[in-house]
Amino acid sequence: MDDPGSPSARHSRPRSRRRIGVAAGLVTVVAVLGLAGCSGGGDSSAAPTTTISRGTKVDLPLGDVSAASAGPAVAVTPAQSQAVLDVVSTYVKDATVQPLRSAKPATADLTAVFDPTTLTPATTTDRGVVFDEGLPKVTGDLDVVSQPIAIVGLGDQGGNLTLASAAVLLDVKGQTATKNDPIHIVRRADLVLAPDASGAWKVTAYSMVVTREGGGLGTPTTTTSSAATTGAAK
Amino acid sequence: MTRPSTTGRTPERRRALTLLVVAPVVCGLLVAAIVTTAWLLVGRPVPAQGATWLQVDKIGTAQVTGGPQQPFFALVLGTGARSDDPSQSPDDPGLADAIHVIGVNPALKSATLLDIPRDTEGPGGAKLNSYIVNNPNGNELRAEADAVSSVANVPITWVIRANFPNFQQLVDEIGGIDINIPTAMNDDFSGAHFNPGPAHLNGAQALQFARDRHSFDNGDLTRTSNQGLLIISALQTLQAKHPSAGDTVRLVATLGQHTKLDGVGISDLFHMGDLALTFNPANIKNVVLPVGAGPGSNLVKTGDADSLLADFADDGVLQSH
Repeated sequence: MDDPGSPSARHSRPRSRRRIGVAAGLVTVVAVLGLAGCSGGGDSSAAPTTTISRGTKVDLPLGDVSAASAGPAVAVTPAQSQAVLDVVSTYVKDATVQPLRSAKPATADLTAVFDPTTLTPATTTDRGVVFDEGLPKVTGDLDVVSQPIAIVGLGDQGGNLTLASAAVLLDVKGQTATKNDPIHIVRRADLVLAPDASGAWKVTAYSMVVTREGGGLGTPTTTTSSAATTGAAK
Repeated sequence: MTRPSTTGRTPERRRALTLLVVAPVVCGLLVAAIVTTAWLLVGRPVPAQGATWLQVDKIGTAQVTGGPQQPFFALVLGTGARSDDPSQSPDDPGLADAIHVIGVNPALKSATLLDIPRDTEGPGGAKLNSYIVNNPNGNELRAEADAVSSVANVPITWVIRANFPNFQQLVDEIGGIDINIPTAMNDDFSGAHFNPGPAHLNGAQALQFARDRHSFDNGDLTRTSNQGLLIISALQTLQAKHPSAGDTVRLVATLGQHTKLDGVGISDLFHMGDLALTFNPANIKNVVLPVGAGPGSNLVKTGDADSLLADFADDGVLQSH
């Protein structure tokens, strides 16, 4: 039985402690370096020409605004165009920015975006297309840039504006923990909006195609399909 | 007492042996980690062209057209009126010589065009094309729809009607119709002179094609079938252009400018058009109501019609016909 008080034990302990201390120091150095390498903040010190902002930029410019009518000519007013843009902006913040920033499912109430007809498929069968969920958390910059959003209004045979389409092409780039391979989302959406009984514009039909690529997950994921949705993964 | 001294040295030897084996491995890993970290920080490497390190890649599409979710029936009418002003159309008061009931099943993304010959006998014995001009209640489209509904045994939700100039302008403004003409047509009455095969018809030509009944032995029966073919070909032509929602808005506005509607608003028409553009034309049947000789020059439904109409009525599309 080894005696803790024996000479051999007394001689070996200081050597072991030194070795453990050296190993711990190396591990600490590696860990610190590794953490620095993983954090977005490392870029600014390593590459002074790149300014790193951890903010979120959403740019949704208004494009051409026109109208076609089955009756007397109609026009989409600036207030109506802004109402359409506001809906698109709310959608982007709730369905793209929040899930990417939190890496958690969207929690916002989207009844201000979708009417009752479209809310159900958008939040269930088409959720994988409509929401940017289940993706790596964006820890650095998040830029959401849209091509100018073209709006086309539809007038009825009495000359009343009844609905409007909004053509949205979004380009989303966000820096994740995976270096030099940011998440990149391109969403092409044809949204059709109409005022509800209270006059609030909401999405009443949509067609969307979304492509997502970028670092953070090693396994390609298949988008769920349904009767109203077709999905594919590559 | 050699045993105690032997057992006292063994653990130390074991530790030394373990260190000898493990230390190079641990040191190697640490050096590799340090070198890799330095490489990532200083070198800022990028993947070689065409290569990726880690990638998630998703592509998905989704579409919700709005509008009705349940099967419904619509009536499409073409009249021979040269104008909506009767004084400008002395030769034709606007009889509905083109009568098509369209059954739509949104869930199945399928539809059936039931082409009804104009001479088919309606309620009370009049020809079915005449109720639109004999409407004591003043709503000519609803009067025609009620008569057609009683023949087809389906509820008709909405009606859309075009006269001659409406039809020509509509076809021209949507850019014409690509169609595969089934048989040779040579008819001086309508002006239809077409060889069989693919053709692009402008408004005037589309009207000639739709009016011709003299090129065929069975006259109006093939004509009404050709009208159904023209409707499906128009849809195919539009689908081939891959219209955006904005394009569909303009198409529906054009449709609304050149037609008269009953039971449907322009927004509903948009949603139905949006829905129709998602249909595979192969899932749209074009069927002529089975009819035979009846009283005078009237046609009456044959025995085959009952089962066909029952099949049509249950969900808007034909399964067994």
